[in-house]
Formats: sequence, C-alpha cells, structure tokens
Amino acid sequence: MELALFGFAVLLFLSFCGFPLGFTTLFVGFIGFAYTREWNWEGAMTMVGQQVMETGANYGLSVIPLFILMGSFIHRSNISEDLFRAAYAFIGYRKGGLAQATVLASAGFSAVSGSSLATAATMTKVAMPHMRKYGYSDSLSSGVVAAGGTLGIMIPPSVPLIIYGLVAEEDIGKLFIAGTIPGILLVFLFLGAVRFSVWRNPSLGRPGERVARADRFSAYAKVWPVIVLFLLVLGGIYIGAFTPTEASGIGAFGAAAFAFFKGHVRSWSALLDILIDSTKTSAILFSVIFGALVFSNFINLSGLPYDLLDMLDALNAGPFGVILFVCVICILLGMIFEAVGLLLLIVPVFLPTLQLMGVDMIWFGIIMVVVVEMGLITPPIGMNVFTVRAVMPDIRLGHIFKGVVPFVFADVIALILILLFPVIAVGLVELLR
Amino acid sequence: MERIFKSIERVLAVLAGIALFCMMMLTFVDVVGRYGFNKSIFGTSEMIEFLMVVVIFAGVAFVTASDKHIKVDIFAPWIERVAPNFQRWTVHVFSLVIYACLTYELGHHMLDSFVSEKRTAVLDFPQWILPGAAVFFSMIGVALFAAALLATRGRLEKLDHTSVNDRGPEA
Repeated sequence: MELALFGFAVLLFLSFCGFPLGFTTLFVGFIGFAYTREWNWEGAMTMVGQQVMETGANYGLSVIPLFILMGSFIHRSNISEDLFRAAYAFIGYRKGGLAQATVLASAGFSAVSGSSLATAATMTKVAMPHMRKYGYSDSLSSGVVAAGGTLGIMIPPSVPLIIYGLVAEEDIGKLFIAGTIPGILLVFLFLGAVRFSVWRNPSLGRPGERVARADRFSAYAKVWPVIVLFLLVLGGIYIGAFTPTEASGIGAFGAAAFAFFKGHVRSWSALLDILIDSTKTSAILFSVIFGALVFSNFINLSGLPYDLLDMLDALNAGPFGVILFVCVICILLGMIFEAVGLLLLIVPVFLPTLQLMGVDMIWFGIIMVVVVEMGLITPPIGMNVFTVRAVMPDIRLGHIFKGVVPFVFADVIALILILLFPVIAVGLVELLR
Repeated sequence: MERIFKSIERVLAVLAGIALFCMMMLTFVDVVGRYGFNKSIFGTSEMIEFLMVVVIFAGVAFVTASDKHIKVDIFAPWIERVAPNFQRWTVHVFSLVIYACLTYELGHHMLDSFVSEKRTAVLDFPQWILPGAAVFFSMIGVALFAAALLATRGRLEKLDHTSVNDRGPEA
C-alpha cells in the first residue's frame, strides 16, 4: 500500500510542477510496475507497448473521436442560438425565465455536443447578451452559463462516461442509459436553483416578454434536428439497433449533414478545421488514457486494492463509507484536476476494491461523473468558470464563482439523491435489460 | 526551419483529420448497408482499427510537438519565476524522453509482429501494419518535438500553430 501511495504522491507532485499528465502517469506507472516485478525493465516496457497499442488500435474506442467529431460539427452549426430561442419561447416569460431558458438550451446543446467547455463557451456568447439586456445580474447570468455547461458531461453521449466505461470495463451503452435520468434530474435541480435565487432576490432576474403562440411554435420547429439526432443516437443504443461505436458514427454523420444544410460547413477548409480540431482533442485524451491504463496496472500489481479492502474491513466502513470517502477525495482533487484527468487518476485506484465489495459499477460511474462535474465550477480551478471569463472578460471571476454557488448546491443534492437512491442511476438500465 | 516544422505538423494534422473522416463514413455506410441493403462492408472493424492508429498516433505527434497536452501546473508558475529555464527544459526533456522510449517500445512491438508473420483475422493483412503505422507517426512526432525544442530554445509557444487550430480538450 505504501508503494502505491508513494507512486500517487510522486504523480501529483510532478503534475503540479507542470509535467504533462499523460506522460507523468505513464512514467510513474512504468517505474512502479518495474519495481513491483523486481526491477524487471523488459517486462514493464512490454506491458507499456502492449497497453498503448491495444488502446490506440481499439475498435470499441473509436467511439471517443467520433462523438468528439459529432460535437465539433454541432458546435460549428450555430444551433445554440435556435436552442436558446426555443427555450426562451417556452419559459422566458417567467421570473428568472431567461436563466432557466439558458439551462434548457445548455441541456439541449450538450445532449448533442457532449462537451461541457463548448457548451459553456457557446451559451455565454448566445445567452449572456440577452440576460444583460433584461437587467439580469452578472453573477446569476454568468453562473448559469458556467453551470449549464456542466450538464454536458452527464447527459449522454458523454466523453467522461465513455472513459469511465473504458477504465471500469463497463458497457458504454448501459452507462449512457444510466446517465439519462440523473441528467434530467440535474436539469430540474438547476432550474430549481435559478428559481430559488430569484425567489430570494427578485431583482436578480426579471421576466422576459411573452412570445406569441405562432412565434413560439416556429421557434420550437427550428430545433427538431437536434431532437432527431439525440433520439437517433440514444434511441438506437437503447433499443439495441446499433452499438455505441456505430451510434457515434451515425451521430457524427448526422451532425455533419446538419451543419452542411445549415450552410456552416460547405468548404474544404471549414471541414478540415473541424476534423483537425476533433483529432487534436482525441489525441490529448488518448495520451492521458494511455498513461492511466499503465498506472492502473501498477496499482493492481502493488496490492493496493486488497490492502484497502483489509483496511476498510478493519474500519467497518462498508461500501457506502468507501464511496463517500472517494467522493470527498474527488471533490477536493476536482478543484485542481480537470474532469477526464481526475476520472483516470481516481477510478483505477478504487475500482478493484469496490468491485471486490460488490458495488454496482454503473451506479459508481454515475456518482463519479456527478462529482467531477462539480469540479468544473468549484474554485480555484473551475474550467467552466474560466471559459465564461475568457468569453466575457469584463465579468469578475469572483462574480462568476458567486453565481455558481446555488448550482454547486444543486449538484450536491443530486449527488446525495443518487447516493441514497441508486435506482435513479440504475433503474432505467434494469428496466431496459 | 519554422516553415518546414509547420508543414510537417500540418501534414500530420490533415492525415489524421482525413482518417477520422474515413472512420465516420465507414461506420455510417456499414450501418446503412446492414439495415438498408442487408449487406455490411467486409472487414469494417479492422479498417477502423487501422484508421484509429492514424488518428491517435498522428494526433499525439502534433499535439506533443505543439505542447498542447493536459497540464495541471499549480506549482509551475512559482518554479518558473524562481528558475524559468530549469522548469521549462526539465518538463520538455522529460516529455521527449518518455515519448522516445514509448516509440522505441512500439518499434519492438512492430518487430515482434513482423517476425511472427501473424495476419489479421478478417482482411488477412500482416499484423505488423498497425504497430508499424504507430511507430512511423511517433518517430515523426519525436523528431518534430526535438527539432521544435532546438529551434525555439524550449519556448514552444513561440511557434505559430495556427495551421493546426488551437482549442483545448473538451470534457
């Protein structure tokens, strides 16, 4: 156990010093593996080569670049404006309605883009000017776009859920199904957080103008491609018509066709730009995945899972106690690490122990995603908060962090509910089995 | 020097991008063929595996050369203030050594596959093609990274990477 903890400490230290996360995890995993095999360098090298090659040439993992590509096409097709208009037509006339419309539009956008940063950046550009026009406070409006973006990592298709599935060797289709109800729950809790903020201080968000019935339906009509794409991708997986890999290919193609017909991707250079962008994001993620898989081999060999199990047995903590412990660690590390890096660091360490304890790994995956989602908006390094600030540099960072507080509470409530009622996460999976 | 660097980086990025496009088309046509015409494309999964190697390893090559990997750097600003060159060079040399070692081991893997003369199950291609492609792109990546470090004296941000557009990872 001391060895694994020492390895983990070295990994954190090197990461904090600015060493690339992927290379650092690979290095620590490699050295640790060689040490546990009595300095068997050749064995460690072979393990690294095999692990990297098997991961980099894995058919099942093509789902990651393809869903990223789908998100890039959606991002460039300017659907966000239509989504916001439709959501505004639906709910904008209520107190805090524009902020609630932003939550709904963010949920819709993230459901087909799968990216929280892209959602936060896009919705800041789209929704902030409208909220400012109606005199919304900067803290509420910037807080809602930062928090709304986090919906992207829970509502399927979600890259962090795919990565969890890879590390935990869980069915990605089941994880997507499991993420649906918690995703909807989070949307409702975020709507509630806006409502609560405006109830406490009505001056934070005045109601918008009511949209005429005809205009309302015309606004709804513009977002049908997003609904079709979402239903096609997830519906296909749910009914078993295609695998997540096939769904990602179909989703990417559908998004490309949609972007083309909307007139946004009609040149070779625009298409190439999107392809290169997606390739770059995929490569960055895969370099962290390579390192994390090598590191998890070392963790398994170090005996940490069994030592942890013995220790927790002695403490009489039980599976629930362990999960709470993992959540606390993740919330703390989530303030520093970004979502994927955190998932890849923490999951391999605790996964074998939790498997030995008989914990449902789908449920645990959803809990992990809620926890890392909080990390995107909590100080000092809330990636979504920084994204909003980058798009709207005139808003003070402190205002945005103040604005996300109700949404952090909403996340905590979601976490508690999922912890207490696992059926929220696994119910739909059981139902569709 | 910078022009050559940017051209190679661009070629890698374009190759990876085209491979990704082919992956999307293959998957889509395969599913449409299966449901619409009761006919799948023969060996789709093996072709996608090969395209994955191009996307990922060519991608890692240009991401490494342009220093776009995920970093946490909590202490880095402080260390940079105290010993700017030390911090920069240590991080870059560390990355270069790890990347070079990984490339060496992938080469080993390719040689093993080559000697074993194993072939893929469906398309009957020699199996060494997959690690071979990975080694090819990784070698270019290592050379590109080393050349960029020397040309910029470790200040990779000096290079203009607009040829391969500039957005962070999407969580």
